[in-house]
Amino acid sequence: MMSSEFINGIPFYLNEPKMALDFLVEKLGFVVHGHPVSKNLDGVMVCDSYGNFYKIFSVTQKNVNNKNDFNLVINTTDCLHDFYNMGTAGLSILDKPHYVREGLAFEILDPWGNKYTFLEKRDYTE
Amino acid sequence: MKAFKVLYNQNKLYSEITTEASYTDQRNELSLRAVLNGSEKYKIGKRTVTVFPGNFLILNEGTSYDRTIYSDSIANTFAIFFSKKFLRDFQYGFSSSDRNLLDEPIDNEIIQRTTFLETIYPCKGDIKYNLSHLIDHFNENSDDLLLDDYIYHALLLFYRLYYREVLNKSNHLDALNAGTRDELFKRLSLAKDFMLSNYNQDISLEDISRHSCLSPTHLFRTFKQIYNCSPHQYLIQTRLDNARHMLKSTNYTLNEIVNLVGFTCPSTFIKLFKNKFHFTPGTYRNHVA
Repeated sequence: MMSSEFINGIPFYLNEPKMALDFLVEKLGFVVHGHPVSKNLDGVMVCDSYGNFYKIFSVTQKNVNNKNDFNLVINTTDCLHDFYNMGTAGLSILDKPHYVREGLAFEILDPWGNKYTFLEKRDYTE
Repeated sequence: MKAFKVLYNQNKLYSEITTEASYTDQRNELSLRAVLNGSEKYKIGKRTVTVFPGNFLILNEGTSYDRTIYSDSIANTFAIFFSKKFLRDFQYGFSSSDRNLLDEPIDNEIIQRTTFLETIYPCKGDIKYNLSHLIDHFNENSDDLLLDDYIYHALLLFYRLYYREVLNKSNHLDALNAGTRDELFKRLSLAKDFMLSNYNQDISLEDISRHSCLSPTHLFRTFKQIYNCSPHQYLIQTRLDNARHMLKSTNYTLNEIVNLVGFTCPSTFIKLFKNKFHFTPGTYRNHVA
């Protein structure tokens, strides 16, 4: 059972909601849940391949002028594999896999400048 | 069952699942050898080391060795062989400036062959995750380029580990000069390898001292400078780590594990296990593993 407080949001441009949704589904492998209540796809939920849900909300160009505003962290169980798949799919890689305090991560950008960080969390206590 | 793959750049991957195997007078490129289950014995020159899960062995290019698996349970082993060119490109990429890499993307100079200390290294943290993913993708027969990403990271992580475990630790020795320090560190590594290879046997400080060519007093004093514990404490930690692995990945009973890892008294084992991992072995197996 998921709780809304754990649902992240993904901003969509008002003028290109369909393309944005296609990007999530075709490039990132997200699955769409629910039906859109407007042409901007507000209210639609998407789920990544690890079972994490995200809520779509529409934004105007002005809201997302600062590209660094949005950074969605997607947890992955195999960072290098996802990086390989993203590279093969021709996505814009912002930062290749690098080791961070929590594990291994890389970043990509969607065509609208949204940043997605793929993070493979690792347990270093053992 | 054996699986072997040569990648497009001549890096190689090898895995073997068996209870019995013996290979003599082997010689390869630089290789990293891990064991997922069971154990594998290597005879390198006059010394013998046994690799258990949780560790890996590094063998330099050209080192001659014999390799033996003889086990009641199935042993699962895995090795990466780094091709000369891959290794040279890797080192060139890290040792050259960005400008130089643009001006001369291909290294035309003959770089001296890199040799590492041929010892047992801990397979923990990032390198453990990396090898685990690599083995999964190797078994799934994934694309060469993907496998190569993991091999690149395995080498990168090994270099980091080498810096931490060898170069950095050897500086902790209070030796007079670099030559003496290197020799002393090598002998302490022999002591460590002897304990890691024979942790399940009844071994004494005298045994360890004999195998490392150091007097018991000298061994006791210098071992602590490097590993922050006495040889006896190191042996106990090794036994507990292996017991934890067995609790996690085998169906051996607690009493069997106590004997298999070299303890004689179950209650002492339980007490030590709880002190180190904050769980009793039973709780660990049922709720944590």
